[in-house]
Parts: sequence; C-alpha cells; structure tokens
Amino acid sequence: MSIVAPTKPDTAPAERSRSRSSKLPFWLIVPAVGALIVGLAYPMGWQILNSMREYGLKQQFGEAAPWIWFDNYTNLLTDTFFWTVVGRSLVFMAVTALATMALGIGLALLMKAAPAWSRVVLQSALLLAWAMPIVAQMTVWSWLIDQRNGVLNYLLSKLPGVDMIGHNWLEEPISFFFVASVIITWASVPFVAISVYAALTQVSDEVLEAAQLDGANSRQALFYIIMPIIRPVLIILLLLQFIWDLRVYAQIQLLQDLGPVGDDYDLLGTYIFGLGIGQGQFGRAAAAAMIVLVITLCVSGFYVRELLREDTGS
Amino acid sequence: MNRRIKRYLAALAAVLIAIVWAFPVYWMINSSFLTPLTISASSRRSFPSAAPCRTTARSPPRRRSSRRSRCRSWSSPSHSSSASRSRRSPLAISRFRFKGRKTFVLTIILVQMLRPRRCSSPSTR
Repeated sequence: MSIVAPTKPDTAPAERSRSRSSKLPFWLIVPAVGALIVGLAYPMGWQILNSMREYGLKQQFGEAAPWIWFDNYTNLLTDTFFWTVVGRSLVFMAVTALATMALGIGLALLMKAAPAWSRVVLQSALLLAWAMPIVAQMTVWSWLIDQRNGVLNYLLSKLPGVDMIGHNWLEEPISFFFVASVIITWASVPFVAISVYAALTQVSDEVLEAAQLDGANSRQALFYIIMPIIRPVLIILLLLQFIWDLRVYAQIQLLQDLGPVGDDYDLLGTYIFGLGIGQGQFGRAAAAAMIVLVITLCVSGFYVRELLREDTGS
Repeated sequence: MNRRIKRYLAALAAVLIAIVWAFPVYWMINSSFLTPLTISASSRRSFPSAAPCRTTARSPPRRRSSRRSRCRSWSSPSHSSSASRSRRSPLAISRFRFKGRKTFVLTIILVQMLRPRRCSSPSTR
C-alpha cells in the first residue's frame, strides 16, 4: 500500500494576484500625486522661502532678496490689526459655516420628507444657484441689495412702518459682513443640502422601523439614529465649510468694489491680497498666508482627526 | 398630524424655498433682457416682457472658430487626463488600504487650506 503525500496547494496565482492588487492603489494614485507635486511644489516652496525674505517691489525688478528669517512672522504676530482681522475672519467663518450646515441639513431633511416632484423642484433650484459663477452671483446680489432700486429694500419697505428705500447695506461693517455671509451661505447651502440628502438616502429603512417599534419619536430617531449614521459626511462637510469660509476672498473683494473702502471691511483673504498686491510686501504676505495655514490647521485639526478616526474605524 | 397633510406641507415648503433660492437666478435672466439703463433706473422691471430683447440680440454672434476651439479645449488631453485623475484617486482611497493613504488624504485637505498663497505669490500678478 502506498501513501500519497498530500500535494502542496498551488498558492502562486493567489500570491501573484495579491501582489498585483497591492500595487494597484499606488498606480491609481500616481497621477494625482504627480499633479499635486507639479502644481503645488513650486508655489508652496516659493511661499515658504519668500516668507523668510524681504521680498518687495525692488525684488520684483531683480534686486536680491535678503534673508530676514522670522522677521516677517514677528512683525505680523505683534501687529494688533492682524489679530483683529484674524478674529473677525474666525467669527465670520464660524457664523457662515454653522448657518450653512444648519440650513443644508434642514433642506436635506425636507427633501426626504417631501414628495418626489417637489424634491426635484427644490433640487433644481438649488443646483441653479450652485451653478452660478461667483462674479454673476455678486453682480445679481448687488442689484438685489441696491440702495435705490434693489428688490430687498423694496420688499422690506412694503412692511408696515418700514422705509428701507435708500438704505445702504454695505455702509456699516456689521451689515457688510452680514450681506457677505448671506450670499456665501446662499451659494454654499446647495452643496451641503444635496450631500446630506445623499447620505440620508443611505440610512436603512429597517433601522428606522426598528427604532419606531422601540418607541423612538421623530426627534429621537433624528438625533440618536440618523445623525450618528451620517456623521462622517457631516464632519467632512463642516470641515470643508470651515476651510472655504476662512479663506473666502472673491466675494469680499467684489463687495468692497461696490463701495466700502477701508481696513474695517477686510477678512484674511483680502488682507493678504492687500499686503501682497496692494502694498507690494510679498514676503510679509507670504508669512501671513503661512500663519493662516497654521490657524486653519488649528481650527480644523479636531475635525481632521475625527475624519481620519472614522475612516480607520470603518 | 395626518401623514398625508405632512407631505403636502413639506411639498409646499419645498416649492416656496425653491422659489426663494432660485430668485437671484431669475433676476439674472430677467436682467439679461434689459438694457443697462433700464437695470439702473429707479423703477424695477420684474418681467422682461415689456422690454425689448435688445441686450441678447446685440451680443456678438459666436464665430465658428471660437466654437471649434471650445470643442477642442473640452476634448483636449489635459481635460481628459484631469478627469481620469479625478476618477482614479477616489477609487484608490475608497477601495484600498495602502501605506501613505492617510498622508494623501491629509495632503488633499491641506491643499484646500492653501488658497491664500495665490495672493502672496508675485508670479501670479
């Protein structure tokens, strides 16, 4: 009687396939990494180097840029006006981002509750608003808030005892930033609403039915079941809103072009632009941009960590 | 409250919000039919019907060459490569766990934060 030794299973194809698939994500990511390196390495390196040099208008015409190391940073960090602009920008960012998130989540819940035809109407309107270019948005809004023939003043004046004809919404800084916040919120809500609605459609009906059977009311189902399920989407949306609203530039600049002039109407984006392009202090502007990057990292650090934690946990 | 009434109210709210949200878009379209003089006049014109469509009629006709160049730009290699790039990277980070994945995600988030550099870089004047 002969005993046949069990043959070793042929693992070679499986290993080959595993090794091929382990390399696949790197090949998929290579084009994006290449684009990042090509598109960012030069401006980023230029910015870091210039933030430590005295780089003004003379240097633009070929004069050597002397190294002053951290002088630009020290000057900015000891400048009270810089901190005023930072504080103003942070408040603007928080108010606008939170308003955008609240309205976006509200509209997403409304879309879930409404019949299909009305949902399509609302989504179309949101997409139309979202599709408008920033310059077109600002032009139309400048007509809407015009002090002489703007629709907003006209409609408000229809209220009994209110006369808003001739009221300039951009005159006072508070009113100026309120208008800017409304416009940015109006333009940002469609992205949040549609993203949250997409996340809501992924919440299983069985889970909600089970919660209903357990006696959970609508509010409890929303806060204890739906929100935790869509939390990763909410975190990334809030993070993006924080980043985008902190570095807002075009809307503020275009509103400033409509009349108000002065430091009281600046946020970080326009402040850095003013330093660099307006005053020709490119080195200082580069340092300010680097400080803003650090501030953005500090503000959003918690959310980035949460995002990565959620991602690792999933 | 009846579930059906709730849905009616939700539909009504959705339509009203849609009207409010799309109003600036409507105002842009309405204004595109008006002359600059009419737009800046003290009286508002809410419908373009009374105004002649001179603004759009006066806009320069699109030349064949410009249309062709736009078509070319859309089908250009740079456009198609960026489109394929934007498809491949999400595939990589959503379907695979690999070394450097977290760093890549962090870099993308950092890139979002870096926009103010454009204002400070003299090369972009």
